[in-house]
Amino acid sequence: MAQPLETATSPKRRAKFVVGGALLAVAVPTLIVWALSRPGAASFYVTVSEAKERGVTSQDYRVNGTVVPGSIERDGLVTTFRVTDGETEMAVTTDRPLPDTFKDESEVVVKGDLEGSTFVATEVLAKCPSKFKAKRAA
Amino acid sequence: MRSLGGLGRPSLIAALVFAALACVLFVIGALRSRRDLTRAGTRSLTAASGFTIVSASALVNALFAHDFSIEYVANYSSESLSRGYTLAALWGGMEGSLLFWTMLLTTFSAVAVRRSRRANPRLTAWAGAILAGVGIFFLVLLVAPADPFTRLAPVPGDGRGLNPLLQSPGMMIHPPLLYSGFVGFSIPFAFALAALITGRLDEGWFTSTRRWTLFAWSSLSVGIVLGGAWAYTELGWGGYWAWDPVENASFMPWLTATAFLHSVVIQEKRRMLKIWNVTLILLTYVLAVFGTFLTRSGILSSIHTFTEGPIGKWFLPFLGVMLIGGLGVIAVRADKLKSENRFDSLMSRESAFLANNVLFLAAAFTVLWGTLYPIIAEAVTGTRLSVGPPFFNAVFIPIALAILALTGLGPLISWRRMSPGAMGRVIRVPLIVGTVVIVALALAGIGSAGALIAFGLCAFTATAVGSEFARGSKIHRRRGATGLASALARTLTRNRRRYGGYVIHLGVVLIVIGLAGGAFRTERHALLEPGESMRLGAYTVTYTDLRRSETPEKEVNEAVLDLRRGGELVAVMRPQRNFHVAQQQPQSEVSIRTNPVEDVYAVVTSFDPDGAAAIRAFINPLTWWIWAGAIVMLGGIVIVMAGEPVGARSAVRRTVPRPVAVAE
Repeated sequence: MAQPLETATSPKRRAKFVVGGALLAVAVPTLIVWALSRPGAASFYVTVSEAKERGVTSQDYRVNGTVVPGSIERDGLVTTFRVTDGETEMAVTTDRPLPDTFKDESEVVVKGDLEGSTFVATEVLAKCPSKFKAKRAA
Repeated sequence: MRSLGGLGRPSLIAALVFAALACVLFVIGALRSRRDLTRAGTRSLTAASGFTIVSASALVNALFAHDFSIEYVANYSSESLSRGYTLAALWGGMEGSLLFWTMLLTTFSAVAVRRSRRANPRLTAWAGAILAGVGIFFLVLLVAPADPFTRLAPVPGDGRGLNPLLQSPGMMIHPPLLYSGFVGFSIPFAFALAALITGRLDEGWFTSTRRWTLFAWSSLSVGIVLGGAWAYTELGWGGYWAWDPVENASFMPWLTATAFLHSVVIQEKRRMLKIWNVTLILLTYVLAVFGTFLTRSGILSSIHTFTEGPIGKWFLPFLGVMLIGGLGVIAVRADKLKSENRFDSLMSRESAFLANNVLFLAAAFTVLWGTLYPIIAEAVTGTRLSVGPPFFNAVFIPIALAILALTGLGPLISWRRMSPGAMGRVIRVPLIVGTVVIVALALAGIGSAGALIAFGLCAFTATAVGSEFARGSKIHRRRGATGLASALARTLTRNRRRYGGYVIHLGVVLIVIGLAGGAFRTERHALLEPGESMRLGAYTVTYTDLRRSETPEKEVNEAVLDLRRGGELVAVMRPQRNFHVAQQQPQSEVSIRTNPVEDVYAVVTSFDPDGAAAIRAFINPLTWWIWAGAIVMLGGIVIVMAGEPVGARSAVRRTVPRPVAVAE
């Protein structure tokens, strides 16, 4: 990569810029490592089967799955549904707003943690806008 | 219905042939210094541009004629779609947006080459060859794996329509602006590479493309803000920026381009940072194309991703060639890129510019790291993960605040060196104002340290910029401008680039005020029966009525909400949750009551069959200032652009070294 420091000629001046560069080379990675350790900064993706195996953790993680047709039930703000990865099913409950594209068979990512055998989601995402591709009209 | 869609593909093939011909003619013209060949190359490139325009027009015609025998038309439009959104369907899907991008590319290239051919024949010949080469890549994509004119059999009776989320005025202009920005950077990129190849490494390449750089940067800036405005008014989650990979993809080239706009000033004034500048424009363009790639490859999940297309794998080799080729010519020419001056002191305008550059690059790098970390982690450890807003806020906010401080500090410092005493004198007033604002807000009960620092720095920077205007107009008043207004106007018009730049900085300050307001947001989510109320900060929201109606496109369900403050009715809000028939999909329409103090933002997240409504409502303090700041920025951009010379002749004049009065 280019050297913006090419112009420092005298040793003293060069030293100043080298120190500055070294500080930066330490500061940026430190900032990144610190930021990655913040709560909610990075969360793991698992499949429904893996989530069931992990059981209850105290960390948020993300589960990919498809909404089981007919499983969506609403009671006030609380929505419960089941997601599947094709092999295993898991019950999900959430009181958070759901995306507009959420319906039977939509592909979703639920973020949260298991409580007992039910996954309590703090966020439900569905694949959407430009992802939207029409089914071929017959 | 029949349309001119049949013209589309043959036109693309013709465009590809002409682009290839242009590339060959330019290369030979450059190698043999044959002006006649360069002229022929320019004509070929113009022909390629003409044929891509014909092809895009054919697709637009097919969209308006509802020619559903073309798969793209059937997938992204319908009989009932309004005219405006039928046009927007051109960039609503992957193939169409690629065609639109390519049309911009060939057209910008032809215009840029025509403008500078006479002034700089060899530079232009190489730039033309590079631009034609980039054009060939995109035209090959359109002819082979991403053909927008693929036929469909049997022909469906109606199309599937445009995604309702994309049916919004913001979406009409947000993608074209982003594309103009991305594509616009290909011009300075090509001229920079051409300068490296020809060994003419003075300021010629960037002065003759400065209008393109400014245009591209401005389009990208406005496009990004409009994307935020669209998310805010359409998506219904109360925010405007989610650090989504595709948002990041447009933000990273903006960061490096902003660094570039600043560091070319040093090259102009002091003949320094030459390698740095060519590297920055190379990075900007690679990041811009990388953004296009991210959107279309499906390698990252994002709300923006197009269906995993077959074209992702085409982009990586292309990016690799550009990056390695670019860095290669920089390395070969490194000896010619030596600075003609050096840094005299750490306390100098040059150092402030350099620090600004380093911070912008650090910001771009951390955002890139967060965006790619999931891919790296999966490749290294095999675990799939997602990096969320807490990471990006944690890395970006400190860097952004440092940049904001420099925005105020930089213009106060003199070139070459400044004594600590002189520094103290110019910085005193802004420092006092900033401190007073922090203390006053802390006493007023604002507890968020981040927000206090942000507001303090905004005050510091605004005062510093203000003092620059004051100093400028004082000089003009002494020279005879009568009133303060005419002195200010004279200050602005005499050095548009410098003072227009300061106006842009003021816009940025206003935007930061709006962003910092986000620290004080309030959210409520409740299920209300008709007649019931909920508290929202100092407000009471009452759900008074549900109104239902139907249009050919959708079933409309509107919640009528009374917004009261201290018992007094301040607004009636009407958020909707509609069902779009063609897409079989519900869609929320947000209701926002906005003023400079705070926005009240209401969405219906669901209706129960008995008429109860789940209402999600927010108070977003100071959000108004983001859009106001963007408009101020746009004003500054217009002032700067108005000060730029038009056309090739003035570009020649500018390539002659002269004591330019740039942000001095």
